Amino acid sequence: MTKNAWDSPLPTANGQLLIGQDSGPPAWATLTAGTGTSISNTAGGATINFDDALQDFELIATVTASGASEVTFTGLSSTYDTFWISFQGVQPTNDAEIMYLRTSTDNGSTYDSGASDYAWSSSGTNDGGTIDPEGSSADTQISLAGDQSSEELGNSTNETLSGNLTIYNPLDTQWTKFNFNFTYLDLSGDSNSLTGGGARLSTADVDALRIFMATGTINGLFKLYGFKA
Amino acid sequence: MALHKMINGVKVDLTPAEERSVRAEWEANKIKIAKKKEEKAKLKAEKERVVEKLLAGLEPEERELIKNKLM
Repeated sequence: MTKNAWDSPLPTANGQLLIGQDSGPPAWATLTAGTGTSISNTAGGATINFDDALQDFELIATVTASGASEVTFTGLSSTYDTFWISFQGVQPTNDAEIMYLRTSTDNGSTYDSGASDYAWSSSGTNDGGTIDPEGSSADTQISLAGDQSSEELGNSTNETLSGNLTIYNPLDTQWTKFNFNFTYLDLSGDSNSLTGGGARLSTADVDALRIFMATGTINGLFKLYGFKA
Repeated sequence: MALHKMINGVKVDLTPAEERSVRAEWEANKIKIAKKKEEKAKLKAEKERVVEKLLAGLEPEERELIKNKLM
């Protein structure tokens, strides 16, 4: 009788794989979950440790905002050198809003808002193909989204924003840099994609972040992740 | 209804002083944004006027095509 995987699929347990050996026919290998995932058969084995691969990227905090004046993340730790915030279904309570970012050096007791504290730039493209750049070399905050004319954030159904914000080396002594990428339906229901960046124009360490709308409250899901230093 | 903020996922009511500060900032931003919009509208109108002047001698279809690119 022919012994192959098609005619004699006789593994000894569920979830087994047929793997070739140096000599002889292939042998059934067993997948074992644990601190790492092992794959082994009679010819030997290998361990793939997914925990090792993922342990440098950690979820730090999750925020579900509903009518909040602001969303803040405090206690940014030197355990991480890069932070990443996922924005999901973010929407202002008021129509025609702009979403801003400010930073703190006293763990959120105060947020810097001097006239020359931040520089930023962004470029939005709407579904008509129109490209609209915006920016400032000296501002009281970083404008994350909605600053483009006629492309402000809307508050109708589906007029939400999703995307991400990356913060590089906030606790370092160099100026903290930011990158952001968002997709949203604006106040007219038009689709927009926006990419931008900015900096806190100071060498002071940034240990807290504040995300807020220009003239009203904010809603949505925010997740802060850290990349270990 | 009192305003609240979300700190690391925890809902925290604003103190009366904080709420006054937030509402004052919202009002200031309304004025600032309206002023910025007005300035941008003026710039756009001025740009449109100059472009129209530059393209005055062209056929309407050509003028519209180039104007769309420039604006």
